[in-house]
Amino acid sequence: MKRFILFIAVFVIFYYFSNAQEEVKTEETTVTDVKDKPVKSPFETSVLIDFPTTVIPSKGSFQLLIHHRFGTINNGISDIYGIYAPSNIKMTFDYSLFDFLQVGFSSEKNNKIQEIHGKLNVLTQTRSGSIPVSVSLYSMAGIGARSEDFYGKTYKFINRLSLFEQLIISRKFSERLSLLTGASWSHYNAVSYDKGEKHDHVGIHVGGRCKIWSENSFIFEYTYPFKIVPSEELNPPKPGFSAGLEFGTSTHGFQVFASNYQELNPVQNISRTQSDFFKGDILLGFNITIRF
Amino acid sequence: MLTRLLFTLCFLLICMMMFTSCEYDIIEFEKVDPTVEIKFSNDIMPIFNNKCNVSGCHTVGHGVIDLTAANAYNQLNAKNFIDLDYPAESRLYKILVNVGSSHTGRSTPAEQDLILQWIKQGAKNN
Repeated sequence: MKRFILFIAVFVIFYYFSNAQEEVKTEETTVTDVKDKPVKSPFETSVLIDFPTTVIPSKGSFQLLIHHRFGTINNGISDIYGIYAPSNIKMTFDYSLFDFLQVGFSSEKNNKIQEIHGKLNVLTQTRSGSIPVSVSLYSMAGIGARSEDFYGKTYKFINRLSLFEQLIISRKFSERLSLLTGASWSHYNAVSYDKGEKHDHVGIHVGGRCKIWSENSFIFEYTYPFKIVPSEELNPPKPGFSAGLEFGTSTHGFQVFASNYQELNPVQNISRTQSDFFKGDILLGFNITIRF
Repeated sequence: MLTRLLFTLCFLLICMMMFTSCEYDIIEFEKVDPTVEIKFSNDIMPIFNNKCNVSGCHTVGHGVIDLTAANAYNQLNAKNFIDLDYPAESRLYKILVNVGSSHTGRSTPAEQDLILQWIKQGAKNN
C-alpha cells in the first residue's frame, strides 16, 4: 500500500512539474512571439486618403489603387454635387519587395504626372510595445507628361520633374484608434514666378482612423503647408483637409470621403491648392485598393 | 534587422541624391501682344472647338455651358462667364488657371493668355 501511495505521489509530483514546465515553455514562446510580431493592420491600406500610411502589404504582394476625385460640390444639383463634373483619376501599382519595402508606379489624369515611388518601414510597431511606433520613409519622383507648351519658352526636360519626400510616424493606440503624423518636402524643378509659384514647400501631416464597427472606420487627414524660404507669395497654398469612411475586407479597401484637394499628386496638392474646405470648396472622392 | 538597416541607408542615399539634384528654373511664357486685336472667331473659338465642345462636354444640353460655335458667345454672356471690369476675375479665365478647379491642366498657358487678352479687349463677338 505504501508503495502504491508513493507511486501516486511521485506520479502527481512528476505530472505537476512536467505540466508546469510546459506552461513555462508556452509562456516563453508566447512572450517571444508577441515581442517580435508587428501590430496587426494599424491602417487598412497603404494610403489613408491622399497621403501614405506606414502600412506595407506582406512581401510579394501586388496592389492596385484607383484614386478618383469628382468635381466641386458648389454647382449643386445641376451636376449632382460634382459627381457628373469633370473628374480626376489616378492609377497606382505597388509591389512589396520585402515586408518593409514597397515600390510602385502611378499615372494621374489632370496633369499627366507619372510617378515612381518607394516606401520603407524603418521601424514597425510591435504588439508587445517594445517598439511603440511605426516609422516610414516615402519618396516619390514625378514626371509631367503634358506638352512642352506648359513648360515655357526655355523648355528643358528636367523642368518636368517634381519630388516628394515624407517621414511618417504612426501608432496604433488600440483596436479602434490609429493615428499618424509626419513631415514632408515638396519640390518643383521649374515654376512660374508670374503665377506666384514657389519651388519648395514643407508640409506637416496629421491623420487617423477610428473604427466604428467591424472593419468600417472613420478616417481623416489634415495637411498644413509652409514655405521653406520666407517670402511674399502671391497665392500661398491652403491647408488640406479630408474626412470620410473606410470599408475593408481582407483583399479590398474602399474609402469614400470629402476633401478640398482636387489633384491626386502630393506635390501639386501641397504647393498649389487654393481651395478651402471650411469655405465650402469641397470635392467628393473615393479610393479603391485591391490586393493580389 | 541588418537587411532593413542596409535598405534604410540606401533609401536615405537615394533621397539625398534626389535632394541634391534639384533644379530651380523659372518658367516664362510667350505673352500675347496686347496691341494685336484678338478675334473671337479666329482665336477663341478654335480653343473651344479643340478642348471644350467635344463629345459629352460643353455641347448642346451638356455641361454647365454650351460652347458650340452657334451658342458659345451668347452663353458666355448670359451665364456671366465674363467680367469686363475685372478680366482676371472672369469665371471663364479663373476656371482655366485656378489650381484645384475642375479644368486645371486642360488649356495651355498661351491659350489662357489669349482668352484673358480677348476679355481685356472687351470680349467682342468679332
